[in-house]
Amino acid sequence: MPRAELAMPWEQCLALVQDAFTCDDSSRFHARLRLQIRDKVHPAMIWHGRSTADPAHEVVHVASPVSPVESSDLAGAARAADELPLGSLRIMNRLIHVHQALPLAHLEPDHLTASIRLVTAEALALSQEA
Amino acid sequence: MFGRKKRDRIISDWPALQDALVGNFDAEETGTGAMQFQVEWKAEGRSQSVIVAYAPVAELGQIGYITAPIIEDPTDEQLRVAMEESAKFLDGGVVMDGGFLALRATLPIENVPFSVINREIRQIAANADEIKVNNDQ
Repeated sequence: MPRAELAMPWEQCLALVQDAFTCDDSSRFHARLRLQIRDKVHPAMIWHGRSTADPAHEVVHVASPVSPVESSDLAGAARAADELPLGSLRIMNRLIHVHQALPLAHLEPDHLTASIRLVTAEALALSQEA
Repeated sequence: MFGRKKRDRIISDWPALQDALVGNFDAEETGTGAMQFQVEWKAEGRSQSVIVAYAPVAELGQIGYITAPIIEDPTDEQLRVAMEESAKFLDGGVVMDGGFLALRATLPIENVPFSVINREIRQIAANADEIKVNNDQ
């Protein structure tokens, strides 16, 4: 079945994530999560995004922190990010994050939870290299 | 069907995406098997190089990697600014790809309409061009 026929509204996506992961804080637009990755616990966040040019284009942003900008080797982190299976790097609130945007119109529940786990595992791995 | 637009095509796998990229962007295969092409804004006389590759990822299936190289051998300041600017975009983040600061987005390619991939390619190209323009100023 084409993924276009598997559209998941943001509200359903948020409920699914709150059910699948430990959620510290949430609103209608976001959720802060804690994930167990092997023997570590690492934070992640999801929030709702919408294109200003095409409001029908909605995404789930997934981000997990790596390290503070001031104490990071930016070039080294960006080279390491080139090898990541899923995410890439953004700076938000003075922290480097692994980030991934997932289009809601083509998102399956298993893909959403697996992507959150992978982005968080990637951020944890980069934080241990930093 | 003559009335069916190319962009409505459902992409089944990497060869189907390669075929669609050749048809829509005159993409050429690189030595690594990825596809490279230019996204052009003819009215503005601008263009942005884009590379699309793919890899199978456990639990996620076939993932497409859309990469737009921006600055060769960037300074730490250029990297910092690009990572901060990318946070304003709906999609894409920064990686260092072969010595280039690049904007990258990833998305599943199996059973996805080409219109979705096409929109993502054009968005990443436009976002990369914006970072490049801001860096040149």
